[in-house]
Amino acid sequence: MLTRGGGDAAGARRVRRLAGIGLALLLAAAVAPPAAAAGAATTVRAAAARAGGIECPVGQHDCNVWDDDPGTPGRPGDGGDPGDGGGSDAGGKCQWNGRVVACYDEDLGWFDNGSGCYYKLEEPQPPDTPEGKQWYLVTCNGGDLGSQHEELLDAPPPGYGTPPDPEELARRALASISLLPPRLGVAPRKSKGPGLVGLPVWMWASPGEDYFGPLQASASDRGLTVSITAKVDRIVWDMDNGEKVECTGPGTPYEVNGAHAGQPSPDCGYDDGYPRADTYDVSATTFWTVKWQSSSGESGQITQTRTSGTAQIQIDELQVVTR
Amino acid sequence: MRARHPGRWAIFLVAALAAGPVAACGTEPDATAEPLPAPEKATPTHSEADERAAREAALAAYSGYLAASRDASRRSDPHHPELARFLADPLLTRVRLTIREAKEHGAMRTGTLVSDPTVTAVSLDTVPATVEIQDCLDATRYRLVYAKTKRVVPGSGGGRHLATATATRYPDGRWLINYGVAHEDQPC
Repeated sequence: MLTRGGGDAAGARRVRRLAGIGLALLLAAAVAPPAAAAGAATTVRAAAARAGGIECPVGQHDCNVWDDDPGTPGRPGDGGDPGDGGGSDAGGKCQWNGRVVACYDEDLGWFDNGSGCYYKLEEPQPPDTPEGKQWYLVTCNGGDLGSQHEELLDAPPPGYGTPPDPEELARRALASISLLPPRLGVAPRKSKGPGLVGLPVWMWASPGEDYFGPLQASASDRGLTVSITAKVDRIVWDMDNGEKVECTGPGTPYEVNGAHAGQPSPDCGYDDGYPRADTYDVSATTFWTVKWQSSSGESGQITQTRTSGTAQIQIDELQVVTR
Repeated sequence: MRARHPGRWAIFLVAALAAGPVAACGTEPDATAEPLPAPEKATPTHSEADERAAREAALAAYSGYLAASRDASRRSDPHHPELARFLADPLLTRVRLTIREAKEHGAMRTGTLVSDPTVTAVSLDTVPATVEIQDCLDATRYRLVYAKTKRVVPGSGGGRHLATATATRYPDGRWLINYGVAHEDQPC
């Protein structure tokens, strides 16, 4: 395919370029939305691409060894927002295929949302660079090395050269920690027996920093550091009958022999109990506030939510024995 | 003048031709209506001494690249300054990314890499001037290992294989390697 070796150098070179252009245009046509092609007429040449993996540089022959590794460094990506059940708003400024990617990568350059490609000014500029144009190394599909090619452009793509964005760094720091969804406890719990209409229900969630914070992290880019602190403000319980109960902490586990046994929970309960007999799937959502502060003095906050699985409560009618 | 180079015009011509059908589904092709001058036939005006100097400079850049790549890989330093002394994009970035990926997996390269490069083509009448290099690299004892345990990364490793590279003369006169591929599927 694109291998070269021996022969008429100039001819081989031209053939390679033609093949490269064709390939790159195919790629561009396949991945780039029309807006991306709307720029000036561009010259494109392909870098190393090959069926079944990327070609490896000389002296780095087994570079594809990591391909099957699940822990492949999400390159610029970082994967965005791990394991969230509920409505998180982890919107990033740079996205590809619904995935948040870094707007800048120290090796790949700046990300262009229009084309889904990273652009980096080639260093040094090749000898065949016409006046007023520059060659860029372009890595598409959100950072896929197999898509790497060169483009000759009149002007840099939008967003090229923008300085680090503290909010993006805050989101990157956030992606490096796990805000876990709450794990629930309820009394009465269906597996242990039914409860009765009108009696207090207790709700509690697993305590701990991973579930309620505070959690800290930081991220840096080109001299700018952003530190974040993530903490749960409130936990909202969905009682599955249209009622919601808001608590400020994890609550208190019910103990049969505890001080409050048979009474309402001291800090997180559905004190009036269910008005009707039924089986209810109770769930809870934690509302996180992530405060960030940058080394340049800016600050802000991001909100996140995490939703639990369900815990079942069975409520029976209060039976009155008449005979 | 540099502008008279056939290779370059070929690129523009192909780009313009290829841009037609692609652009048709959205924007007007804004190909400039500049007439394409007939390419001048390049006449070999370079002496044997020029060619010999180019070969030597290209092979020096190539061995400099391998040494820099080995050193940077051993130190897990994708931004080792030596890399930019012998490499140019796109290969420069590819090498950095490969070292970075190994580093992110806690791995590094160690051992000896035996190189035996030859020049297969010299092209001094083109812009850019290039020298094509072919090598039979012996990577049998050059291993990818985990930095902490020194254990070989499963699935890694290579034998004697063909490698090809292009050295290009840059405007400041330096010869740098800007393309280079290990053909692991082609033993030698």
